[in-house]
Amino acid sequence: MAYKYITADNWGKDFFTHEERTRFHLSGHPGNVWVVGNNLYGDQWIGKVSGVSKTQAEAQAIVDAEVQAAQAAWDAESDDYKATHPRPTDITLP
Amino acid sequence: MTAYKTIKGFTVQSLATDPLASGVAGATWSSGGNMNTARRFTAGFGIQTAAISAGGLTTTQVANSETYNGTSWSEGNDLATARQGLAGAGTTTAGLAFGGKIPPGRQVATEEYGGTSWTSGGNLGTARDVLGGCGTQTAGLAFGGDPTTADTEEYNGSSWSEQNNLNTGRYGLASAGIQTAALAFGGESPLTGKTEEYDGTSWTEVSDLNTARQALGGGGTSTLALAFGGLSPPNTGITEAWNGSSWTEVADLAVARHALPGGSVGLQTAGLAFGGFSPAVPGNSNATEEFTAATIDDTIQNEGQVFYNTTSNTLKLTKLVFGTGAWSSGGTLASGQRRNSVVSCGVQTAALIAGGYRATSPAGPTAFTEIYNGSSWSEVADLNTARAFGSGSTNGTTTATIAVGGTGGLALTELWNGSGWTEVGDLNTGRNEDPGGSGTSTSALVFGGNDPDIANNESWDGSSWTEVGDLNTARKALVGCGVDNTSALAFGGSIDGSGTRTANTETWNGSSWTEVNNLNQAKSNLGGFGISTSAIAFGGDTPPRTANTESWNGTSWTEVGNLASVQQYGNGAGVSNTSGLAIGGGSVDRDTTEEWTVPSSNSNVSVDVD
Repeated sequence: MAYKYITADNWGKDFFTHEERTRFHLSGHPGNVWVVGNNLYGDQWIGKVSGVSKTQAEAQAIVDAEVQAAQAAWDAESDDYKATHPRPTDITLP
Repeated sequence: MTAYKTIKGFTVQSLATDPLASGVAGATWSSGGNMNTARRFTAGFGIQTAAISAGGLTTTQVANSETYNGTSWSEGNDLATARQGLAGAGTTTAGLAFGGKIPPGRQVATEEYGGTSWTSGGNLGTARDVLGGCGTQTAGLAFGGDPTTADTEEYNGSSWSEQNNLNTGRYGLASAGIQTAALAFGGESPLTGKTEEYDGTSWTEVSDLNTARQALGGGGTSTLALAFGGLSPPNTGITEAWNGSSWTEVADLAVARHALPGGSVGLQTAGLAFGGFSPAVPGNSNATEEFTAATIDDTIQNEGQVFYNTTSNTLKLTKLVFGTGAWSSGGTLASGQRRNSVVSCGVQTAALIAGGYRATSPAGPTAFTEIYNGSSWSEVADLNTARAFGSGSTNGTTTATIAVGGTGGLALTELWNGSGWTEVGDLNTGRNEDPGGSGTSTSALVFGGNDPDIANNESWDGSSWTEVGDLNTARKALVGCGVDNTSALAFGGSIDGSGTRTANTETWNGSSWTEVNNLNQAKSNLGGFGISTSAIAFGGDTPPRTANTESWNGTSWTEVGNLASVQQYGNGAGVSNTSGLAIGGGSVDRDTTEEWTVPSSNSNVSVDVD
């Protein structure tokens, strides 16, 4: 498995560091979902941020809910706004 | 008259060794004399030129005691009790060794070293091994250890007394300092990078090691410490320097290893590592390494310095070299999720964002202004007019910038003076849809934007806007940057009123725009920062939305490390391609910041004269 899936609140500064970004894959998604490279450094980072492990399906469901909320917010916007701002699109986790 | 130098040339400095980087950042590990007995989990104490290694584990527990004089180790009188995992404190003439293990039992025994032989001291209250230790023979400190404990004890020269516990119990931790000002860092159960400071009464948690690990080595003081080696896992040679508030990685040990000495050994600028366990050796190590920072007698690196190394017979140059850029997490916006600010500007440690669109309730343009200090955002005085999708002086500062245009095609300009916004001269052409901007509060440009998109470009002289040369390619949702109204860069955006994304890049020379090399990816609603010769483009909509980051060197764009999160509508701050911020963004809106950093350091490189 190339990735691990977790949720973790981004507390800001030093949540992930420059050094960590160079050592393992890390991508953040709506709903505080993080896709983490499956190596020792990734595991250490998950421990550091007290990440809550999710299956890919669980993580995807959290992202979907967030995207759907953003889409609902966009749907409620004016036509003028919609004409120039694309509707948030679905996100598929790797 | 012909100058002498045109006939004879310049004299280049001759040096036997390359100049060193200054301070602990430039320090390196070099090999020292090998221990007579390879072993791990010894007690260690002293300084780089006068240290003791006592006890430890070979294939069994040993009582060997060796003294290092800065060059070689010599066997001394043995400990009374052979053991492993003990800790040490003090000096080569007044030392202390305590705790440890003779499997399966943990030990309470303390022995005092007088410079020649070991004599018995008072027993620890809690038996343990792989514990932390520091201080002196008459003012020692023991903390943590296995079985996992947070227990802390102080030694007064004859007996140990219980003190306040560590906040996090652990074993395999490292130590620095003295009884009234100590540092505990790293350890196991679970593996941790936690660091705690002891003030003689209680422990306080401070910043973690960058690399969590156990069975590492330590030395120095509570404000200037060194952590090295350990088991992360795997075995590591990573060395980190503590400056009193945070750890920074410095040069690695040559031999990655764990089971390094228990106790505080050496200083931050003159550290000492010995023994341990390393698969590379393999097994128990007798290797000694000395961590040495440049001294006042050394030649220090200066960027641009040319010298001739008489040892290697090589002409060399000291130049700044850059590492791999990457985004790291920064502070969270105080006012919540936001994107498409009117203006964002500044540098990584002092940035400003004003206005922006918020999709969460109450949705709409905002007047929020926030300032970043390098770690956190704080709200300051609002814009007079709430708005988003505008631009401004993207190379302004936290004390002087302008915010221009925005929602509904505003022509409005507001000036920030460090404490509040004041309305100043309007644009000639109101604009919306994320036009590009550049410059400062007294010399700026705003270009493009609107729907349908325009090429219109206006120049700000500190009091009024004047129409100047149009972009070659009309567009909106682009990024601009540049030092003033005579030098700017415009990149990306959408064109033709159809939303077609462009990779087009143009530079402004004060009178006209010139097309230069394109972005690698066509994208709109991207973020960016920099100047006309050094910039970063991040995120945007290609489509799909992207985390892609590109770096501009004045000639071409190169793809570099991605944002952690895919985003568009981002806001940037920074004045070069080596350092900056990506702030907020959408389209699932966020309140987070990412910090872009390309590390750099001086390096001595050979000059090819053939």
